[in-house]
Amino acid sequence: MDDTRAWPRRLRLADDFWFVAHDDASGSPRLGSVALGLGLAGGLLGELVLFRSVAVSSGRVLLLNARPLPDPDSQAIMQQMFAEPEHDVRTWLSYLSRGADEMVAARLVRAGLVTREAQRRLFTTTVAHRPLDMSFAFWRSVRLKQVLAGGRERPEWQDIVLAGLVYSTGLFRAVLLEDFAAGDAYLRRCLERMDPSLREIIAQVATLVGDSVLAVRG
Amino acid sequence: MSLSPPGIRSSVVATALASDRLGVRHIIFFVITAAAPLTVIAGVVSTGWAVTGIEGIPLAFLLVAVVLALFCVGYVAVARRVRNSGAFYSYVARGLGKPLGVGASFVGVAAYGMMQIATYGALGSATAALVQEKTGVSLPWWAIALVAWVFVAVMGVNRVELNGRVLAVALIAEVVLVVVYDLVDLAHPFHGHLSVATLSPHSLAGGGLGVALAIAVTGFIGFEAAAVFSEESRDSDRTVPVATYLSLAFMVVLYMGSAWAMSVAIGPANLHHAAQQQGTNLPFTIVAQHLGSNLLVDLGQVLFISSLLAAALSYHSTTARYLFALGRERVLPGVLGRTGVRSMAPVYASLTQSAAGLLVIAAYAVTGADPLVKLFFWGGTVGGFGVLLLITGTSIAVIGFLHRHRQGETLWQRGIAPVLASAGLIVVVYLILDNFSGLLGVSPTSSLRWALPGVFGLFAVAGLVWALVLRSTRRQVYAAIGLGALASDLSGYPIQVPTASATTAVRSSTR
Repeated sequence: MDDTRAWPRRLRLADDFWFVAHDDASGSPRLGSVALGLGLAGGLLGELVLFRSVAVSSGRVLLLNARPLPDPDSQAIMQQMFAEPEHDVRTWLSYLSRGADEMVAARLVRAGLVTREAQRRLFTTTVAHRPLDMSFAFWRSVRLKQVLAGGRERPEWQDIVLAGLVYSTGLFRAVLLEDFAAGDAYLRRCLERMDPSLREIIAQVATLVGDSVLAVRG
Repeated sequence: MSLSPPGIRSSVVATALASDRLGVRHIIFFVITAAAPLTVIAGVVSTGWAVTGIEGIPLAFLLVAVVLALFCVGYVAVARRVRNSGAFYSYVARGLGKPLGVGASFVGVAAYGMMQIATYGALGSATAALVQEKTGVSLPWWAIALVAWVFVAVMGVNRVELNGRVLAVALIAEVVLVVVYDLVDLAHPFHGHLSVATLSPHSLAGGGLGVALAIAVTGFIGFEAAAVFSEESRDSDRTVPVATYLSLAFMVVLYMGSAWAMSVAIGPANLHHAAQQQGTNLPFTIVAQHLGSNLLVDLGQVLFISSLLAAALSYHSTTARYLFALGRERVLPGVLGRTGVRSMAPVYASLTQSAAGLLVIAAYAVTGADPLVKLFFWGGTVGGFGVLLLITGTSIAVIGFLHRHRQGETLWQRGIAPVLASAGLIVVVYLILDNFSGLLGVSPTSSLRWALPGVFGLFAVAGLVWALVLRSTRRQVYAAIGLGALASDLSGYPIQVPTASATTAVRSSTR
């Protein structure tokens, strides 16, 4: 996989978020578990919007069609949404955030981009996911920086949603480092023209992440 | 504001979300830990007797509990409907308008911040006294306060939460010990007579009423926290009200009972003198007189310190959450709304409160002011008064809010109880303000009697003016006040913050 020509140029939104939100070498998360889950959930829901299967408006998820989706996980989420259409977007994001890390990691394992390995700690054994190709994992963050620098990469909406989710989960500063101010301004300009469904997902993720900071768990 | 009908069929989503929600017991534990019973009994009550000489503190606990219980009727009804971003001020903003909401939020920051910093005074002086008694080494109180300060600051920035089991054991030990003390006290009444003088209205005659009420209010602060859990509780319709009322009932029985038991053992007339001599050791020394062993006393002193530390941590996170909530709505600088990437701690909000704490400790250390009376007692009761102002404002806001959203609430819940509570709270505020010099133990002509409560007036006006400035200069920020949303200015474009879902509890959909 070290041949960069073999790297997939496009990843699905949640997959891309996974790479940005995990250490490229060790695969350990760079975010707290709540924010990580919410960012990935935003990615999964954003994929459905990008597929034109759902829209988000005023806190509701609108199911647009029952077209079969290429990804079995997206398909499963759609089926759940059809089964219980009464929930608002906030509830869906909270719900999806629970298993999102596991779901997206499994998807990446299937795609051959990530390996699943048991890590033995002192007393317990935990399962961790590590990028198979460190350079590829690192490149996803670099690519995002390039997009936000307004440079040679022509941005696609998916990239801007990714940047928005990175912003909402509080990772933006850590990803952009010295390019923060320029990237921040660029992102804001793009968001103005963004599809309202995607913009609302980004906003809802930000609100939920903030609420989790305020939540007291004694 | 449409609430979907209660879940008719079982929902996979709701079941999954409910799996790790909090029950009544968990919330009560949290509330009582934050209220820190020994901090109230050994710290606030003993110092209260020493500073003011008012006997009727036990009766005051009962009176305040009744008013607060009335307040809770409307309060928990609003908590069911407004998704609480962790602060009273969103209620005030929604009930009385955004300018008053921001004013209330500033008062809240000042009041909780004061109470938090106050705990360092007692932590320092009680620990220093204990160390000297046991080892003969004399440490300055501020050195110990600084150690506690570092501990709280580090915990706050990393959002390390103390192990729930450790806290529970400490809390249960604290409560058991207090009950044992009470039984020992009651078994050895002064002159063999079980006096009920401190429970009779005479004990609050004259200026004493306001003073005793202020002390009692300070003891109850923390009861309001249960509503913060409305979204995290298993069944917000039931869990939060039950936890709120049970916490309040538990506190009034424990505080009133203990204060009364102490007065029985010491004799009402001797309270002032004994408390002045013994300070925060008062409950422990009475017991020591009657029991041959010092074990219970030593244990009590250690638990008092751990209780103070728990209170310091809890008020620290309350203040930091207020600052964070204001920061993320951009009412205060956005940096306060920033969190640690990995820890998800409100880093800058926490550091702000810690910086204020350090300044105050330093100021007291340099000027040599008494840490127990002038930091702990003044800071605690003045801060408690500030929270009382916030509660009063919230209570009035509750009337306004429930008047507009009356479905599902009885006349008692939406009208009678909130009006009675507001009237009661206003009377309590008036009585305290009228006797503020007695509370502080200063002469009635002292400028402090107006200066200290006046701080909250300044903060309230500053918040109000600031909200009006925001309204004319930064409309998006103003629009999002109290909604808990960073949404609007993320893009610099007015995102349709979904009012319905952002502000109404998803009570049916999460069942």
